[in-house]
Amino acid sequence: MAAVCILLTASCGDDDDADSATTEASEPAPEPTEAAPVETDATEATEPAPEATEAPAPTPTSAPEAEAEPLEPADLTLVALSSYKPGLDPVIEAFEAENPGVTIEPSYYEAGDAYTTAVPTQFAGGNGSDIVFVLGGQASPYSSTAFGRAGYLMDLSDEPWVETMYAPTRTLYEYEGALVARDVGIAPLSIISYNKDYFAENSLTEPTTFAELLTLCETVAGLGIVPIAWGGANPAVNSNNVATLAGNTVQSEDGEWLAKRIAGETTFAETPGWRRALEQLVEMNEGGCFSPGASGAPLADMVSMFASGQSAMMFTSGILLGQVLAQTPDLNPGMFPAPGDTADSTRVTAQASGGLGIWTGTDHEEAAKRFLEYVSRSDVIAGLAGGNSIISSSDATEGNLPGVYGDLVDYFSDDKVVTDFTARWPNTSMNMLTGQSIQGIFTGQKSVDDVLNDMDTYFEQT
Amino acid sequence: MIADPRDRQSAVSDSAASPSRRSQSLRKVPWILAVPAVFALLVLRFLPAVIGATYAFTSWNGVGVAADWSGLENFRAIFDEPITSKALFNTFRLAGLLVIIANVGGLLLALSLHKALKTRNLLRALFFLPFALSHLASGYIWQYVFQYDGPLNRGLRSLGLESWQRTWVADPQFAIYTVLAVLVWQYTGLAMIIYLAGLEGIPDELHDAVAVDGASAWLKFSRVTLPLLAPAITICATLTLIFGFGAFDQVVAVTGGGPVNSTETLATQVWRNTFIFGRYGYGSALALILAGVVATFAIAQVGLLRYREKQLL
Repeated sequence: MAAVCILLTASCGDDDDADSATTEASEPAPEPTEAAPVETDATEATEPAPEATEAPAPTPTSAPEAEAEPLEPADLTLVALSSYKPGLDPVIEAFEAENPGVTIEPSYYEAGDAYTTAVPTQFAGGNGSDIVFVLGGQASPYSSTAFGRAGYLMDLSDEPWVETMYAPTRTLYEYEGALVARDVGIAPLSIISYNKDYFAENSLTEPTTFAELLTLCETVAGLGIVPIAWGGANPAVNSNNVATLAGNTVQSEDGEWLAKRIAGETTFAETPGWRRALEQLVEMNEGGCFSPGASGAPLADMVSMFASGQSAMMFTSGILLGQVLAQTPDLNPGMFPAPGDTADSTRVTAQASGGLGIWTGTDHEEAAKRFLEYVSRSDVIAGLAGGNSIISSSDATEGNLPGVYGDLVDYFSDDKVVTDFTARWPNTSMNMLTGQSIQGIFTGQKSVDDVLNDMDTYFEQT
Repeated sequence: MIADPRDRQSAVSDSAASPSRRSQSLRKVPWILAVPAVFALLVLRFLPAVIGATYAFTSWNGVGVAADWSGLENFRAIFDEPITSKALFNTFRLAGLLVIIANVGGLLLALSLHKALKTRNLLRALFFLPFALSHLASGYIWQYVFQYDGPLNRGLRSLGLESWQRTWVADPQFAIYTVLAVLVWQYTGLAMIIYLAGLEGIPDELHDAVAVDGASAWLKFSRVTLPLLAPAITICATLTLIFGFGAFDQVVAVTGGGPVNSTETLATQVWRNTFIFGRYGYGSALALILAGVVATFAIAQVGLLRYREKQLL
């Protein structure tokens, strides 16, 4: 069967500068693996996935559609993160071919301050793009909540594609009950990627419990390489990884925890699951899972450490695997979620990867809506998501996991996917500040109690 | 017809006054010519800054045009947050150490390369090069140098100094000095160029005269060179102080402000709060404080150094 190319790239978590190197890497991946639809309760997501490479051009049409009225000629504009360029460009091209006279001129900005500065300025100046990329939730300056609150995004609640959105993360794209964007897809917030060939050569197996992970670290360290590459200098890596561990220790036990925290019925400090997540980090650090310089390692070092074979595993957003494969195309990667204390408590934490909305000031409402309709076709959105190395919302809904994500299919079929907390944090600084605080665990500046108290403080900030 | 003597007197007085009026008119010309530039400066530079400063008194989040008036709330929040005092301390520490080290280093380099060395032009170019490079790009290169498996630690290992190895950029004790090292590396060359220009302006005859009097090298330096370099010292110290206060690229590239805010400065705090956290009002308030700090210290320093110049000369 034809191999599916996984063309990934990177960034992880919020804002930041962190980076993005684009690459193209191809990996013979298993066919989309099927799993049952997932039902999880909604929680958030953070930031998008950076770049990728060329996405396969979507084949327009797959879903049966009623013949639509031809559109009036129009010149639309679209603004998105540059990481979405590989996925969006072919989609735009195909849409223009299908709608003669309609053009879409895209502008792309890097994640973080470039996008944060440019897009709101255009809106405020009455010069917004007709179609706008937004992040789900409220933890980013360019989230659906931030733009929705400012009145920049049109209500799309009655659009025909609404039911095709990935249900667990749909509420992230709503503002005061109105749907303001169409999601593109999801990706694991953080996942442990590993070198399958190295594991096979050394008779290593995927750990199913946290204790087994610590044993694995010890074994790998004994073999002379770093067990897990960790980019501790990047706050998003720290906070996203701990939020992922909390998927096992908090969300697996209490799906309503965040609602309770928002209601003030609990705190980070008094929740055993959060304490356990941070203790796991301490145990991993003290158990020799990371390199001595992990606390100061930037994203690029983490990636090259894994790509060069200096580490057997890497714990971060799965989409960073694209950068790894760009450096080492022959690497045979696999994925498993960070294991919980028991196999049964292990969860895959999914992050909503952003969506597309329509500016309320657009002069081309019909054409813009038609574009979102076009994007919503299952084959088109799969191409768009594939270009960004994420799982499309339709594939996520149907449990078809492309490429290396196929390793996670059992978690989807067993209803062991949770949506991550971070996009629902009540302010835009929580994730970054938490990541900085967690770095203190590595450097000895913070204890677990300190970090928990910090998180409660950051949570209350406006 | 007989002319009225009063008219004649008036005519004489007019003719006497006209050159003076002409010269007065001529004196206005430069001012008139400056008007467009001054107007552009006011409208394009200062007016936006003043308007931007008003956001310091709002809770604007950067999205939308509506900004709620919050009075002094942002300033109160700034001084309530522990990170502000840390950032303020780091800003002063970096600026102070940079002024001292870059100026002393730059002066020593200038004195060395002022001599007729064959390679002096090459060496001058090499020492000045770091200032000409992109500060952000070279900051990332330094970040690599300071990594645990980077060239610095590898060098120490090869010298048998394993115990000196550190996670430099993630060590709370040393991280700030990695930033300082990069700043010094970048600005010492600039200081050297300024001092070289100052040295070029000192007539050789003065040195010859004191040499004839039997003055030692130290006396020549302290009694002739240093006093005559006073204007260069004023410029250089002021510039390095301003660069030190505004240190941003180097912090972001080398440490990102970490670990746990150990290397945060006011400039990085302004950027982080404004563009990363979307706290535009808070960021504007912080920027106002930074501008006030820089202006106060720069003016005080210039005043002090000018006073010293007069004393030395």
